[in-house]
Amino acid sequence: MQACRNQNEILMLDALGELNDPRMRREWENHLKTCDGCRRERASMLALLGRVKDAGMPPELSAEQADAMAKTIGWKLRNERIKPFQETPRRFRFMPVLAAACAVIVVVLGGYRLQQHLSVPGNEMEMSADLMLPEDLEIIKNYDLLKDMDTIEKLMHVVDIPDNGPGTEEDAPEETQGMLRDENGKKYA
Amino acid sequence: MPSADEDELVRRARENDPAAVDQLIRRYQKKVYSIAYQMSGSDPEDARDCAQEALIQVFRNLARFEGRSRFSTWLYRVVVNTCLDARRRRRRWLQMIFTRRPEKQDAVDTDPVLDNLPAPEDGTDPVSNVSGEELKRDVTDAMRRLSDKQRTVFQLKVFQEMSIPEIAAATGMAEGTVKSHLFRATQSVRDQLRCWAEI
Repeated sequence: MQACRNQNEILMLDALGELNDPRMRREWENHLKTCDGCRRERASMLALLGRVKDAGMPPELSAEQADAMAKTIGWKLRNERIKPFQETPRRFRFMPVLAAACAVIVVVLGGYRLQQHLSVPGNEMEMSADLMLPEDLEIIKNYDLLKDMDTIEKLMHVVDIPDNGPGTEEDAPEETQGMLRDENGKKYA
Repeated sequence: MPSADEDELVRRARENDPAAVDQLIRRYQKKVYSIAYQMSGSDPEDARDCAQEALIQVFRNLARFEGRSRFSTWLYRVVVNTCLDARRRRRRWLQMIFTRRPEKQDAVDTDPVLDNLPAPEDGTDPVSNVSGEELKRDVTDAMRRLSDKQRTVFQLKVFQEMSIPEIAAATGMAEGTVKSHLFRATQSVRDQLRCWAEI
């Protein structure tokens, strides 16, 4: 009689000692009471796993071998000057370094492009200056000189005024102006 | 094994106390050797080398143990990873040798059962010895037919009697994955060794 196919998983869980769910275990035990095939398959499986385990057991590690192994490990650890409490140095990692380099390049290029973009209004100003009339440009270029000349002109005007101050022509005596008036009040030289 | 005692030993080992390191080595070396034996194809010499290397790795990386799991769980994980690495290295090395010098393969055409027979003066039953060696060879063959993950999970379950959550912690797999590998491995082993179940 064959074991039930639908019980295969539970059979293996049971044989491996992993049937921990109480409800499943109860159902499985009830099934085993009635199913001869599953019962025999379970017994066969347990026997096989027992034989496999016995066959796969390692030969006993002798006391000398164990001692020699422990001493070798201790010696190697001491000899390598291993300090377990210290972190081992980080290894050079290529990918993070490459990613960081790419990020720097992107930032630099981005900054350069941004700078170019922001410098466009300045260019517009330069272009509008090109479009200005040459006379205006001449004035702008010689603005300082013109300012100086204006100052000099004002100074000369002040210097040219007579000593009695900057009075009006009406206030000034007629002799000093070099003008005479006729009977109608009109001036003549 | 009292946990507080082990925690104290681990703390001292982290502080580079040789006595604590020695005590931890002696406490776990048999278990580590046993895992290494099964994972290194049942070769005692390879198993000793692998166990030694695994324990060195454990104490070399002790600073990385954060205490979130039990020390033994972390240790088994390091041991399993070290043994898997050693097995991969050995397989690559063998592939390299046998692809360059294929004539060597014929030279290894000996019968391990007959090679490992005890001497007649041992006083043991030769029939049971032969059957034991045959079973051992068949078990080793059955293990070789499994994938790396299936073999590791099966060995930890059957030989080390670890529970599924413990295997999951030791291998870094999910419990469902462990269960699935365990089913497939058990089924495969059962199919290959069916004749031994009837004896």
